Amino acid sequence: MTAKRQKMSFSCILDIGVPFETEKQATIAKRTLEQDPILKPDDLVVRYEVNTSSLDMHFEAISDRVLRVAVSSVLESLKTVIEVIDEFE
Amino acid sequence: MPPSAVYKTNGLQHEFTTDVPRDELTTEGKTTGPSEFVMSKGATDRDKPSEAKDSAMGLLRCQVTRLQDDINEFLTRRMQQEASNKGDGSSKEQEAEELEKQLLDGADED
Repeated sequence: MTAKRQKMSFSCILDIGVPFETEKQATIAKRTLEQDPILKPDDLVVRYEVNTSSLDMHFEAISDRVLRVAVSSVLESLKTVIEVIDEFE
Repeated sequence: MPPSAVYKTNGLQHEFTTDVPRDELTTEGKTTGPSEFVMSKGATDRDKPSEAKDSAMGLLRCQVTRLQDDINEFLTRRMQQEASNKGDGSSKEQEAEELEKQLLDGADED
């Protein structure tokens, strides 16, 4: 396992920027999404950041497959967050 | 500015934008939900997304859906390429379709 980790690197990187209307909305999204634990931290790194009203998401994965699964899952959750904000605001 | 993304790997860079007219956008993703195969067998999609409201957040939800589809399709193509580079080239399309189906209907590994 250790040898595998030494060979693998976070070579697949994706940065996503999602503009909200307000910083408060972007912060709600960030706080909601970051509750989900990363199940395989050896395979994937995810960081969320709020820059004014934009939610910036940074993904680093050991493969395109890991990246695809993680990004799609986070975006699926993000769509729910956006829908909830839309319903309650 | 609509949502956007940048993919980077070993010298390659690919940009995704969602600068698309509103009437071309929907909350129903092509690469999410049950696969066509499952639906053709009579399944009901109980998690089908609601239609977007005519609001800024409604538009954002549609744009994120488009971004998600574009990223999923791009990464699936890359996985497909990687698989065909490794293998002997036979029935690779079938394998890619199988992989896409697994990802849509739930793979256990990741």
